[in-house]
Amino acid sequence: MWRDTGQLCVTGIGTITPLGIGAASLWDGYERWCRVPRPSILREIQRVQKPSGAAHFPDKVGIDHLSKSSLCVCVSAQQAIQQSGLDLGRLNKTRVGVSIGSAFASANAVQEFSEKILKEGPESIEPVMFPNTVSNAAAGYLGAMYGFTGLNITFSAGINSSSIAISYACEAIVQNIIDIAIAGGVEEFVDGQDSVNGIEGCSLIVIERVQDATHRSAPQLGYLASAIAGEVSKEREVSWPATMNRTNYGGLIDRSNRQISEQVAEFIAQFHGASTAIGCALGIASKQPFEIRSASWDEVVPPLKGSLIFTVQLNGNDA
Amino acid sequence: MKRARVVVTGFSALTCIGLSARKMWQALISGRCGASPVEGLPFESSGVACQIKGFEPDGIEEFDRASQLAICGVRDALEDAKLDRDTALKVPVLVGTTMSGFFAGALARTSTTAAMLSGESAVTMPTSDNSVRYGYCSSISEAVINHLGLSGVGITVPTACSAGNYAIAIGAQYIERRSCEVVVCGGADAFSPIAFAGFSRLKAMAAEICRPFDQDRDGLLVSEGSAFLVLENISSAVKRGAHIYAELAGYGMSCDGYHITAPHPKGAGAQLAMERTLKQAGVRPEEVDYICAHGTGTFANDRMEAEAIQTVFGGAACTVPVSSIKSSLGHAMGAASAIEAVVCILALQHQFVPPTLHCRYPDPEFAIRVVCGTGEPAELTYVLSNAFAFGGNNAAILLKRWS
Repeated sequence: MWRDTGQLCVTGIGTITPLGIGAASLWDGYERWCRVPRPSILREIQRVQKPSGAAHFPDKVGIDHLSKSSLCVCVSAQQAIQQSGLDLGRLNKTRVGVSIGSAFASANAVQEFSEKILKEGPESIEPVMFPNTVSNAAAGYLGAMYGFTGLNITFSAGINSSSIAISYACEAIVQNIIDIAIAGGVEEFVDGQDSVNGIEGCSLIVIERVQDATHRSAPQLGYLASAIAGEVSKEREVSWPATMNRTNYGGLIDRSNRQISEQVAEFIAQFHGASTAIGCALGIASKQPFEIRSASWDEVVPPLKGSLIFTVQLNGNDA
Repeated sequence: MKRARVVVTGFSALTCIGLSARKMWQALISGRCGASPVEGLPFESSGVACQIKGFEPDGIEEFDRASQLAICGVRDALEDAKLDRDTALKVPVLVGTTMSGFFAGALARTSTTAAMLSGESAVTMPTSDNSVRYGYCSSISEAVINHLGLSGVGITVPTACSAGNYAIAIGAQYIERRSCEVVVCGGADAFSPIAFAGFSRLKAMAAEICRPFDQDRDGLLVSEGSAFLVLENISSAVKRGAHIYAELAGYGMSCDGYHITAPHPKGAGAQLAMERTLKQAGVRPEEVDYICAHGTGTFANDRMEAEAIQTVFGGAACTVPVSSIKSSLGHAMGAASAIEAVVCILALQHQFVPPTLHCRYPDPEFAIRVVCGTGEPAELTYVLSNAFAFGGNNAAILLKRWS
């Protein structure tokens, strides 16, 4: 929906993938991935190891009962907030919002919960397991952990999920509903299900107005140029490479010279609903001009075919 | 750019007390309760729930029940709006939900795994089909788009028990910012054994009946259903001569930022959602003629909501009628607030406040006016509908009578 340019910037990023914690590990993994024949090395490391909640949040008792996706979101947010230099003690938390996209969301927690009640009966369930089953659990836990009350929303739209979440966060800032957004995407697949050729991961960015970031001398890692999510595209603005006609590709990075990098697109698309958010991390970590576009022409999800366009412009010089 | 005004030109509802919006309304004002002994649980348990009987749509058996409810709900709402075919085919669809088809997928996976372990062939539900059809959170909106042959975008808004209002608010934003002229939005959820077991373990389930705002309330009843609104730019609706049911005057979202399941004890997030809604609409609290409460019937939620209403409405809290239809049709999770939006439209249309069934002794600690037992005629211009959820996700909407 949001079409303005030059107003918003990224001041922090947090990323967790099977390649490690932090955007730098993602870039290293991408460069290694480019050098090996397909199927990629990532096929063997699709799953993220559940972060230790106690290690990252030693003052939060019982945090390790959160699902893997919720913990990934909380840890990613911690990194992003730290990098952005936000002073949580002085922040007006009614002006901070959370917007998360995920295609699979709580599927794994639902699976675990379901198997337990089916095999052992409902009395076997620990009450703390229940909230993990709702698809907004990750965003909800993040809001509760930091006390962010301005906005809290979760989107699920297949491979476009994080595109929509980020663009909605931008819209909320532009409409002056919030001043700061923690936005991005997360994916956690069902354990033991190998039918999804994807990679788990989480990437969150801190978005704020350029003038606010400048005022508080925050790092400006990149700039969000425009977003048009949730709209039917009139036409495709770029020529899609032939390889993009395959299924499950949803991200596309267009370098400054407008040449499409099929490798980058193929790489980030494996992160499904988190793909655009992961693309942001990759763009920042690359330390070179980047433009990310996300659209879907996913044969598995025909309704989203070519329906969304989202662009982010990042100048990773400060990363 | 000035925000476009948004009106409602179509709606639908599928509930345990009526398989259409009009039948639901008649059942609601005649005091019918949809509660009955729970059926179809895949594990040993007992209790009461509000399940839809007789909903067996032809031709969509391949989809999980939540998707079936969503497909039928969107279809009925689009038919009610009488859009021309080209417009109808292009509308974006926003489906609020708590569980989507997750449980159906989990059940199928578990059955498949069990069959594979026992050496049987899992021919009825191949793993790949499970993942594609049920494994996505977004599968419910994709099912709607696919089955109805729509070419617009399909987005699932899984913000738990406030998802319907979230979908409506986001749908309105698409129109206000002129991304599209028409959008269909609402919510759908099938009866969830997960919710049944989960709320039982949280000791939030009513033993027999749901009595919101009663001093003896003991919890909620898990329900199911769907409801959808067709929202339209006012100029588009007037131009095509559409029947306009109501105007969406405002909406507001917020977060408790407090706890994943427990509401903020002072209702701070709920207050913020209501205040944002009224501010956006430019309406003073005393101008609101009816509050369709979230009113789950749990001890904590009702107390929090009553306190939030008292704070936002001040002296007017004692006079504005408040009711909870969850006393009649239970808590349909992600569909609940969408169903309540439809009830608000019908309340405006009929100038009648629906009742809070089973509320015999309103909690004396609440300084709000709960409409108990039977409904009451009223002059309604503005009606507010609240929705609160796990994750502290709050959303309110304000509907205005169309004249």
